Amino acid sequence: MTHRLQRGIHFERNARPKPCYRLLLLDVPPHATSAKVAAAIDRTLRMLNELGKGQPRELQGQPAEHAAASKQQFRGLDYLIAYGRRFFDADIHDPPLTTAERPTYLAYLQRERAPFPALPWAAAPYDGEADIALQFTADNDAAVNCAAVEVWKLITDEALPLQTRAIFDGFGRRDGRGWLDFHDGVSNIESGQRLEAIEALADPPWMEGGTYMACLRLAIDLEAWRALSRAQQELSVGRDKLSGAALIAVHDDEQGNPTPIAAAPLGETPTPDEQADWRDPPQTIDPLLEAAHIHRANQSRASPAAPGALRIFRQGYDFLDEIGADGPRLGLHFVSFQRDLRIVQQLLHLTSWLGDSNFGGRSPDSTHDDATTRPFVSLVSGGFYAVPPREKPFPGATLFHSTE
Amino acid sequence: VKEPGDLQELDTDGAAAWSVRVKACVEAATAPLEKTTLFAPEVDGAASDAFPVADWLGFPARIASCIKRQQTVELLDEQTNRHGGRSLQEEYLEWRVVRDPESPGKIRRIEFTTELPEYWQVLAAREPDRTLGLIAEFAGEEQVPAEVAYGLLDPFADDATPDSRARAFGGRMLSLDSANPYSDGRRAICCMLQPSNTLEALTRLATIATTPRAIRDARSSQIRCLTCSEAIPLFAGAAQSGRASDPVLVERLGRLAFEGRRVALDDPVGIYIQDVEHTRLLTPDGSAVPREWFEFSRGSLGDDGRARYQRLVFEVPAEETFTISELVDVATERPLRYGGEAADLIRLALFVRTSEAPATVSHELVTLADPDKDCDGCADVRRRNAALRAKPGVPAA
Repeated sequence: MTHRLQRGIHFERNARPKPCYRLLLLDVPPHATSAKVAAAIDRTLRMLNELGKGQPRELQGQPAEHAAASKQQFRGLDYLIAYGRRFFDADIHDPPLTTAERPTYLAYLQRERAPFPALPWAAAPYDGEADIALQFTADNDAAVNCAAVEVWKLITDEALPLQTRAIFDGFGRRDGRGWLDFHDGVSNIESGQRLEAIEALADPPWMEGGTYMACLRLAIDLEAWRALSRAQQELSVGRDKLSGAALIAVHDDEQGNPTPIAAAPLGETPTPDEQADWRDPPQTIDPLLEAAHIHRANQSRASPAAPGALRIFRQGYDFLDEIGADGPRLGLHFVSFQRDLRIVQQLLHLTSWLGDSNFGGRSPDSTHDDATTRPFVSLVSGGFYAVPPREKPFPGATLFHSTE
Repeated sequence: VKEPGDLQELDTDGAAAWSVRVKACVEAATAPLEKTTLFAPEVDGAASDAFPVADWLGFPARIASCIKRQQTVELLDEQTNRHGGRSLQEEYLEWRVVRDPESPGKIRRIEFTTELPEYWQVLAAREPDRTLGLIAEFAGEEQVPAEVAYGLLDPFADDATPDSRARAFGGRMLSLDSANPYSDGRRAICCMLQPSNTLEALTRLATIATTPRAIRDARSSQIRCLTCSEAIPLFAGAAQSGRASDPVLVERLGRLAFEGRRVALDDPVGIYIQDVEHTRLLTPDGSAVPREWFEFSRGSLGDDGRARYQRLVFEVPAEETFTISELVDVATERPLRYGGEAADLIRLALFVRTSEAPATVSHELVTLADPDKDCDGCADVRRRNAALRAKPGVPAA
C-alpha cells in the first residue's frame, strides 16, 4: 500500500507503536523570516536523519566500534514534523511564516473556558500549542531523549531561528492496559482500514496525503477512579476489567445496583471472528451500556469509509510526571491521527459521544449525579497539528514557498 | 402507524392514509428482496426498544470531499434548486438561510427541516387548511393563498379530492423545478425536496441494507459482514458512498442483518434531529451560545428520553446587537457565514427496533462488485459547482 505519510505513525499491519515517546515543541522567534526558518527546519531534520543512522553530530569520526554502538542505540528512531495553529498566526508572526491556507479545523484550543464541553482544563494547565512539533518514537528512552536534546544543541550551536518550548513524554505498555488497569486501544481500527482513516484530502492542497495529529495530555485522578467499585468502573469503560471482554448486559443486584455481565473471555486460540467481536463488540441497545466509553468513542462501529463513523487512529502513551505526598500525577498522553481534525472536534463535542461525558458512563446532567458521573479526567495540555506528507526537501516545505 | 414526530395533525382518515403510504413504501421496497429482514413498523418480532441505529451530522460530507469545504458551503446555500444547493443537501437535512436584505452578508435566521415530503403530501391531501396554515407560519405571514400550494386547484372546492390535492401539491411544492418560494427557501422551507431525502428512498436503502450479506475475508478467510465500500456498489443506487448518512446506515443495518436479526423502522418513521453542538459557538463577547437560541419543533422528546424533532430554527434573539454571522465556531475560529456550517453542528438519527439475534445464523456469501474506476461520484457536484462559478460575481474555484 503506497502512501506519503511520515514515519512514526504505526498503522500498518503488524506494526506496534514503539514504546518510547517524546513530543518536542518548537516556536519560531519574532521577526524570523520564512526563508531562514525553512532552512533551519531543513537543517534540523537532516541532523535527525543522521542521528537515526547512528551518527550523532558531535561524534562524527568516532572509532568504528563506538560508531556501531551509536548505530545500535538509535536504531529505529522515528520522527515526524507537524505544524500547529500558531504557525499560521499572522498576529504572532510578523512577517507571516506562510500565506498558505490554514486547514479549516486547525484551531487553537480554547484557553478561557473548557476546551470541550465535558473535558475541563486541569488545575494548572500549560500551553501545548506551538509553531512546530517534533514527535520522536523509539524502542528506548535514550534515543528519544537524545533526539530532543540534539535538536536543542543544534539550535544553540548554529543560532537557528527556533526555540524549544516544551517537551512531553510517554511510554507504551506491552500488556495493552493503561492506568485505569483496563485494556486500552483494543477497538482501534482494523489495520487494513487505517490508512483511509488517517490520510488527509487535498483541502488545503498542501495537506494531500498527509494527516492531522491531535495531542491531548489528559491527567487522570486515579484516586477518584479507584474510589469506584469494579462494577462501576466496568460500566464506565464498557469492558470486563480482567478479561477485557465487552459487556453485553446489565442486571440489578439485590440492592438495585447495576451489575455488568460480560461476554465470555477469549479462549486460548480464538478465531478471527471471536477476536473481531471482542475488539468491536456487537450492537447493544441498553442505555447504560451505550453510555460506556467504548460505545461513546465509537458509536457507529462502522469502517472509516463511512464519514459519519468519525473514526480516528489512536496512538496514545501513558505518562507519570511525579509521585509526591499527594500521590501520583499521571495520565494518558492521547495522540490520534485522522484525515480531518473535524472528526476529533465532533467526537469531543457531540452529545451521546464524548460531548456530555468526561470519560464514559451516564451523563452528569441526568438524574444520576454520583461518583460514576463525576469527572476524573482533565486536560493538562494539548494542541492540534497538521502533519504534511513526505516531500523534498522536507515535509511542509511547500508552506514556505507560499510566502512568495 | 403514527405521524412523524408523533404529530397529530391528521384526522382518522388522514392517519389511515398515512399508514397506507408507509406500508406501501415498505412493501414496494421489500417485495423484490425476498431475504430482507426489514419489516413495517408495527410487525411483531422486532420487539426491542427503539434505538438510533446510526447518527450522523447534517453537513453533506460527500460534496466537501469533491470540491473542498469552502466551495461546498457556498454552493449549498445557492437558492436556485435545480443547479444549486438544495439538491445537494443530501444528508436527510435541508435548510434555508434568511439573510438581512440590506446586508446580505449577515444571517438573521437559519431554518432546518427533516420532514418527509410524503407526509406533507398526505397532509396536503387531507388537511388543506392546516397545510396552508403551516406554510404561512413557516413563512412568517398571516396567511398564504391556496395557489401557493395547490396551483390552479381549489383545494376547498366540492370536487377536489384527496388525490387531486395530493397531485396538485406534489407539482407545486415538492419538485425541485417548481420554483416555488414557499418550498424552495426564498420565503419558507416546509419539508425536504432533495430526491434521496424521501421516505421512499430511505425505505429502499434500509430494505436493501438489511438483506443479509456476507463475504469470506480475503486475509483471514473468515466470514464477515460487508463494509460500506463493499456493500454500496451492490445496491443499484439505493445508497451513496461518501455521505455522512448512507454508509453508516448501510453498515449498521447490515450488521444487524448479518447477526440474523429482524429489523423494523421505528414508529413513528422519520429522520429526527437529536441535538445541536451549540457549545461550539461563541458570541462576540466570548460567551457560549445558549441552546435556547435553537428552537426545536415538529416533534417531541419521547418518553424514552430520545429526541424526535423534525424542524430547527436558529436565530439570535432580537434584543442582541449581533447576528448569526458574527458568532464564531471555536472548532474553526471562523464566523458562521453559511447554512452548511450550521448543518455541521446538527446530529440526526434513524430509529429502529430489532429482534433478538438467533443462536446460529447461516450466511450466504455474495460476490463483490468491481469498483468503478472511472467514477469518483463527484461529476454531478463538479458540474454544479462550475455552473455556480460561471455566474457573475461568484469567486472562481
